[in-house]
Amino acid sequence: MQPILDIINASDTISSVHVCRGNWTQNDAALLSGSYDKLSRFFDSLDVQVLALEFSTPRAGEIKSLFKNNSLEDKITLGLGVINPRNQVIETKESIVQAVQPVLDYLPPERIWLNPDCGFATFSSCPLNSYPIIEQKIQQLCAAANALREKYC
Amino acid sequence: MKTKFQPFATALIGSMPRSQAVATAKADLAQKKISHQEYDQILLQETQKVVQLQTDAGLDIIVDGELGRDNYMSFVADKVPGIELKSLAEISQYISDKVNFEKSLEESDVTNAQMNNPVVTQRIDVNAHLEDQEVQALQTLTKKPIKVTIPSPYLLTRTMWLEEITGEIYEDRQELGQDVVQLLSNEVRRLIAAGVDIIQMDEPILSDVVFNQDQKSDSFY
Repeated sequence: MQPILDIINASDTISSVHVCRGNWTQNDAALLSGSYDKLSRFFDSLDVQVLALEFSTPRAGEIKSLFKNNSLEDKITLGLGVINPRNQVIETKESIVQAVQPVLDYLPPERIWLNPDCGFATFSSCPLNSYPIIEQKIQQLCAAANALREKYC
Repeated sequence: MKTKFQPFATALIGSMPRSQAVATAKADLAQKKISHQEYDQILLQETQKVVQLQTDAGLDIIVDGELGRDNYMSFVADKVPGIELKSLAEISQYISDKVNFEKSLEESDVTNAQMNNPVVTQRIDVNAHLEDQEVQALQTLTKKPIKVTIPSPYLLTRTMWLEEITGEIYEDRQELGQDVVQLLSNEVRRLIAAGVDIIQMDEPILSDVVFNQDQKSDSFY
């Protein structure tokens, strides 16, 4: 992976890595669980600018496990997963703002990006949501980003 | 960090549901009822809707929704000579421990019909183009920064290796891995030259390796 990241890092293009625990079913119990502490040493060894990770599901563990015993907070931009692509519950602006707060203990606002946990249809044969739901989820994502900019920037 | 993005920049990860129009067009193309040009036109129209949705919502970074892809890694089979798409049922024929393989599918809530897997059946063409067409299409649809996704070399190598077939062509996974890195390196250079703002490598399998270590070797991945 690193040789490819090196090519990107030497250019004006931003390098990003997305890691998740599976996105093929709405059945949460069938997907993988585990906090990021097990992966954080690997993340720390990578020369990558953005890590896009899932955090909207409790299966991903807590923010602090990502930053434990490593220097990630000095270098990465975190693409924080704040939207669950696999359920029909619309996250609210307020709940997203709240989810971002613990990250501010580790990273400045310019190194926090916001995204859903994963794609809305990783496999063409199993889309995880309908467009009307997706639209509302994305609207809340953008509203939360605006609220955070007003509050912290 | 080199960035032109505002704090709390927003983006999707990549994939979006394929509409009925896309599914129909794909089936029609397979049956040669429509031409490649007609298919590309339908794909472009549907991608335009996905771009519009993101633009209207106010996302900072735009993706194309990967509507033409079967999934985030199997799409390489459409693009690279030497890689073929096989259904899980076809693959199952080659797996020695069928019972465990099928149990793994069942536990993972995956059914045979749902997923396809790319398999290396010849030496791969490392100069094959993966995404320029999609990128060019996306750039005609938006002036905003764009993100493009590629599968990670580790994931791709591990997924495309089917011992009974690939093992006849490549010495080992490592040798295939070198070709995969070459393929992706060539692609990334083209994406950079095309002015792609963000290249995201998708590596979901890493969490499988870490969190599922005690599982049987013939797991769903």
